[in-house]
Amino acid sequence: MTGPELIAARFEEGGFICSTEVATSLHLSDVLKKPLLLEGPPGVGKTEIARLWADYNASELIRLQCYEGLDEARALYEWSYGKQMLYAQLLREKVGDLLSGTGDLHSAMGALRGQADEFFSRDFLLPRPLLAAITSERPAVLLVDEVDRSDEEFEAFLLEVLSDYQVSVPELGTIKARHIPRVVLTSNDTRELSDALRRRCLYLYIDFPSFEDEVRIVRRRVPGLPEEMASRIVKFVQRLRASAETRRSPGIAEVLDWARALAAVGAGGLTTDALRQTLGALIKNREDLDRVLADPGKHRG
Amino acid sequence: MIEALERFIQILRTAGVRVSPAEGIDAARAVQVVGVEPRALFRAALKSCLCKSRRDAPRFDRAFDEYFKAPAAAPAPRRGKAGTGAAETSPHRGATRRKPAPEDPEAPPGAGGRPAAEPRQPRLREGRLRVLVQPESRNARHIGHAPAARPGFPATPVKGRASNRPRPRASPQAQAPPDPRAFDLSVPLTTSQERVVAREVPRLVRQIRLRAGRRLGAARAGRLWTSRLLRDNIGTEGVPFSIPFRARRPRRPRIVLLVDVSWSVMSASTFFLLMAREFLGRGARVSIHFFVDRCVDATDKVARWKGPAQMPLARLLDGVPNLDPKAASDYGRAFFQALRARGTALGRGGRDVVLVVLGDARSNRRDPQAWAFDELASRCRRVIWLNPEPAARWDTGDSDLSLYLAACDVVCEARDLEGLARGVAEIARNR
Repeated sequence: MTGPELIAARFEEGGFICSTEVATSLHLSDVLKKPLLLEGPPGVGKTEIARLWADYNASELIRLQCYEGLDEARALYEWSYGKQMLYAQLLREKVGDLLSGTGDLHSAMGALRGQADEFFSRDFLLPRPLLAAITSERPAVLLVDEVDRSDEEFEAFLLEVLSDYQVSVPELGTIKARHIPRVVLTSNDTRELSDALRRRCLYLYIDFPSFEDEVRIVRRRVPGLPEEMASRIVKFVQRLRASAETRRSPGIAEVLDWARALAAVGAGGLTTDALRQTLGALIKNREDLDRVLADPGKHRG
Repeated sequence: MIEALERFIQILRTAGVRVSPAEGIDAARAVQVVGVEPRALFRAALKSCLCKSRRDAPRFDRAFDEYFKAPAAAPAPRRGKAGTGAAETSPHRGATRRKPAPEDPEAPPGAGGRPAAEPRQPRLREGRLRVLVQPESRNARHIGHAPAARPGFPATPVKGRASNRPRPRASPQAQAPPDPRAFDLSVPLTTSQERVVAREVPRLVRQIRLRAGRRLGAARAGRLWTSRLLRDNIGTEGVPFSIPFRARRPRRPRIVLLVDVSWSVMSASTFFLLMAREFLGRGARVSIHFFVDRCVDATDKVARWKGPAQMPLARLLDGVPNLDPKAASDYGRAFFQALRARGTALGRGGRDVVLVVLGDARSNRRDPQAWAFDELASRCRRVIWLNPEPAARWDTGDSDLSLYLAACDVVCEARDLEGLARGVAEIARNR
């Protein structure tokens, strides 16, 4: 079995129907040591891929959730000021002893200078996801989730980290990666990422699955569901996505929730009653819900 | 493989996908990792390295399908038996060639009749091949109306250049009607556009004649005949009382036009025929051959043709016996047939024959039979090839142009009327 085939098989064991593109991109990302940028609408399984990728490699998954205003302090490292203060309080007596022999301020400063670095050592460094991934004892999987939500400044900073896999802490110097982490970036395509970032990554766009694949996914993840019912559910959802009637197309996770909800209420088909009871698991907006329930036959076909 | 990959990246760039050298290196490394088989993996690997945006995905897919055509997908020819042979397997272009069955009476001997022991290399003609390519800036201007209707080469939207649609008022330049000489002939034209372009042909021909006339005038006077000058003026102790000039004898070459009339080059063929006929006039020694997957003499038909305004070329083709305009182009077979047709000017050849070929050299991955074209060219005084495709697409995908160019004297990018005119003017150089 080749690398991509093995990945696909293992992902399938984990309940994820893995396409050739996904498996090949992951394999190449691993071999070429390049980050993988996954782009696609929400709910198609981008984050799940990273999770399974970590399982496949038996590595730790370190996740950096991006948001507007995310800065280096939250992404890279922070000094634990509280811990530093506590240590300073506890060591006050020791500091007194150290300074007892000094006659003037100049000599006291000289005596402290040698000791002050102790408060800016690795003991007081709080590693955030990027540093954690770089300094990890074993190769980790770093998931930079929803990178399109972060600011452009952060994107530029990320570029630097992903190019060299090293960071500079002024008090400590340059910290190089012990092992190059496997990096997966995800984007919901809400804003255009810079070309520079794209160029540094392998790229994969993940769209909603085809009808056959989605039926397979539903049947795999909701084992008790009859095949005919799974087909009806998927047909309904795919028509809903195609109609662009709703503000947001339901993702695969929502389809699975809905399928489970239908199974839980014992629905034998997509009747209006069953839809009224369970459609909240699929559609998360009142107006969308009203619109779909007003004419459910349109999507049932 | 690296060479094939380089060409593929070039195609992607032509199609508007931005690929950096670093991405090209990534792609090469990726291919090294996954190999070229299975095809799905190969495709996925290239896509993840070379296609970095959702918008580029359809362009990538089209280019990939066009360039790395599956060997089994080679279409069977519509008529005849020439395509019944086996296909060799290779993931990249140039390696998938159909071998005609030996029993095929029309089979080119390169595979069936000819002893296969000595594969012939295309012979370079004496002198240098001149390549007449339109400047890039002008090309950009020409991509005016329908940027890409060709399969495999998606439209590259040119901002503010939807020239055939009514546009918002912007500047006097923007309101100016599109220049018919700059219409891209590599895409089908509308009837009204054809009329506009057809009206432009006589004017353009007049300009070519004028230029040719000036050259001819200068040629009539001839060059200074130095040896005669000394001999004639020996009696006057070398003082030149008489200055002799030596002029070349005017030649009347026979022109053989070999025109691809498949749909992909139909627009260019229409106006080339119109222009060539207008330029060469009634008394010229011209024979015209059409080809798609076989070659037929159409001199009489074209002589009676009154231009696209009265009858579109497609309708004219319907009346040409043994020609199927809807067939897939097969240059190798057409050239081989032309070579065997000893009864025609094309088959006979001669030192006064100027062969002009118009076509994109896209053989649909059939055997290009470059040796047959080489043989044809060797019988002619001069060979001029007009290609209606932009130069950036030459020799990409299923194009075999480089194999044929070895036997040509001039290759000319003729993607619009002016490009065609330049090609036609090249004929005049031999008159």
